[in-house]
Amino acid sequence: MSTLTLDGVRAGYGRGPDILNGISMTVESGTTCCVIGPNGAGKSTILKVVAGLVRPREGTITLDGERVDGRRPDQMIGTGICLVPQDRSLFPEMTVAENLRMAGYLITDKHRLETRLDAVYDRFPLLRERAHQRARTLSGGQQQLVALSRALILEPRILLVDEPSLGLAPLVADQIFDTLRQFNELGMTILLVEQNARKGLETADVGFVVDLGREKFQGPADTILEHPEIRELYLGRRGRRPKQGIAP
Amino acid sequence: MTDIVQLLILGILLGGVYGVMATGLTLVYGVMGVVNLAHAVVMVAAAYMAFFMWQDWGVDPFVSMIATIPVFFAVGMGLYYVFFQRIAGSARFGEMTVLLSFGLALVIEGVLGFAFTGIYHTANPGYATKTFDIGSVIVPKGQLYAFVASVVLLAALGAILYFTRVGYAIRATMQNATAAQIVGVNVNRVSAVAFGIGTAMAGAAGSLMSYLFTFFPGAHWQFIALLLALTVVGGLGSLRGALVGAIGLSVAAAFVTDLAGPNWSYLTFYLALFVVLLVRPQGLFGRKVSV
Amino acid sequence: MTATAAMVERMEPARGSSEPAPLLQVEGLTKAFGGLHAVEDCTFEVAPGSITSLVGPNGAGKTTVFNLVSGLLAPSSGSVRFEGREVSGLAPHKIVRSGVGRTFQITRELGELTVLENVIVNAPTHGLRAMLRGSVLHHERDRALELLDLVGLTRVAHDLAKSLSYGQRKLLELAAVLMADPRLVMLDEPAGGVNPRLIEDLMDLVGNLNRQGVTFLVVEHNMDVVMDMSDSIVVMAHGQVVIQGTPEQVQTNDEVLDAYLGRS
Repeated sequence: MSTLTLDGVRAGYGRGPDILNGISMTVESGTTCCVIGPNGAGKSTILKVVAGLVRPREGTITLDGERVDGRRPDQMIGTGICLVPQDRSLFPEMTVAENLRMAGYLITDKHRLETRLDAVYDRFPLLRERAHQRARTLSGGQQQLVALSRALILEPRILLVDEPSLGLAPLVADQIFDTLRQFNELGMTILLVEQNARKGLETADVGFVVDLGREKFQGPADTILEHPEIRELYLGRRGRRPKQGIAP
Repeated sequence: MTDIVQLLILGILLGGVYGVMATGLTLVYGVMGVVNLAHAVVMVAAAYMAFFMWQDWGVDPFVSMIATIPVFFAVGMGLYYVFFQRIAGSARFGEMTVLLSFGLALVIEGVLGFAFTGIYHTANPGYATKTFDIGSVIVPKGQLYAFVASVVLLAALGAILYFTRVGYAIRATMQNATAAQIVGVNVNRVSAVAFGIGTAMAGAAGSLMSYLFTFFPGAHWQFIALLLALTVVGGLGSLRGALVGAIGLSVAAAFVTDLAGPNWSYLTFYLALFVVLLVRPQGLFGRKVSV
Repeated sequence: MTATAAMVERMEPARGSSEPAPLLQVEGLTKAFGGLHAVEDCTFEVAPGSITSLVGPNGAGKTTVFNLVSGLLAPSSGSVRFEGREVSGLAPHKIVRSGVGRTFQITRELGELTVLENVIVNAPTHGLRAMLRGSVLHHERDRALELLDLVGLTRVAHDLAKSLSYGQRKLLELAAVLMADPRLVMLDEPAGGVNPRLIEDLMDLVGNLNRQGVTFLVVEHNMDVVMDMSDSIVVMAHGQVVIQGTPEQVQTNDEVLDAYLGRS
């Protein structure tokens, strides 16, 4: 079971202002949830806080009832949380194979690591072909694939994906989302943040709408965009204050 | 003709030793962004240690490495945990490491001066003054042995970095610290180990220095200046760069010395530094943008 | 007379005509970084005396357009005309002297100056040089104090800028840009990271200044704020302009909503 719960989380960067303003949300085990919302809503920050890269100033984060907030990022793997950051975050000078092996840094059982590596190469023959190519020479889509494959090797309980389609051509992005669907079918709970709301929701079961660091509402992914508040959320309140301007 | 070969050999031999000194410095920068101005004074401290082992117990400088390497590895990790870890998250980390290490260098130099006075020392094992004569080329024995030792040390460093788990973790942290954390690397502990390895190399270099150079507490200043020039030219954070910089500039300096006299040899390093900073500030192999 | 009254004076002739010439006209503006077109064939205008907002999802190119107009970037092609004169490609300080000001974050260095000094530094008659010489002119100092009074920072005029809260800094940035007496003020995300009450204060301030004749071009993400204060909104996506229109037009336009929700 891997139900993730955020409760009243307040967080910001360094000594800057709060980006998350007491957000609460629950990601049910086995589902794919897509977080959408206007710019500056704090979507990426949610993932960073869960992954331990940003410390919450208030509130708790629990995975199946166990507190996971306040830990170092490298301790998060032990709790079963794996992040795929916006910039893929690969090791540029290492080859594809080395990048994947690094994902298995904490796996002490060599046999288990080899089995998982084989599974990755079976699923993505493209990676086997480019196993000895340096990561920085890969295309955006290929890098994203390597970043996602790291997840396969770690077999996390919950996968956090930050803007998977960023910088990718639409067709390539489709392949990435397809991959996420496959991961979900394997039993991984997925929490993703996507600027392109429509695309992100296509892959999800549930949509979470976030604005100004708080949850607004949630609903089934296929119908949430029809929610009457969506237009106001993205395009502002109706009924402006009358403004006395200079007559044109 | 012979002259050129002679100069080349002298440059390369010395360059190898500088290479060992420089890789330690650049490794520490690459892993955690620390500019360690105390690197050279650690070398001098190790030279003192090797010297007294030779003078009092008759231990050959090369054999002394068995002591200097582990001792200074421990010293390095200690320095990291006590001093550098404290400022790890701060906004002006880069500048602070410069000031911190500068202060450390002064303190260590002071302690050395207090303990051993300012008398010049140099170890004098037999080979320090002998040479191999190959045709018309003179190859100083001491420097040749030092070069061989340097090659072995650098190979060992390479082996650690490329064939051990810790080495992978260090390289991963150098390339992308955030990604390293995501895959479970304890970046803090890895930084401490990397710092330790850096000072261990300084320790090894110190053993070599004990007979190659005449040293005294304040000798580290000319070395740190040289090493900074080398590493910047090669590219701060690039191990390959440190080696290329060390050997390339040493050879160049050898030629300059031959043409214009020993006073000008240092000029070569600083001139190269100047040019690199103007033309290509990230150095020969420095990184610009990562994946 | 005060600077703002002088500005109103200048505005008078335009009011008579049926449709005044745009204060700022951007046409076919394109900026390419290598093969990437950050801004492509961008065309819009800012009417004198209006508050025009530039909006769009992340990566739409708004900040690039902003930087192109204020001179921090030179365009690959296209034109930017201010009061009829071509200003594209000019150095930033020349653009400021032409009458276009933009807000800038208080940097670490500026934080070491007092609040008052931060405003004086922007005086059109080489405020910085005068300050360093120690011979700030009386009327410049008076003007600076007047502006601080306008934004409500008189109390902290002699405090170091770095001691200000985030919201106070935004007010200071506004006062600073007004010091150069611009006819067009460009605001870079004025409501970003600021608490709701201060947003109200900031918007009231902008409204007041606008009523006195200052034209604004604003990049902003907070759509409630944008809809409340704008006369005209330019929506951008993927480096191109989707539409320029009134708030009502933009809010009811499906293409605009699509731009924000993404293509499936």
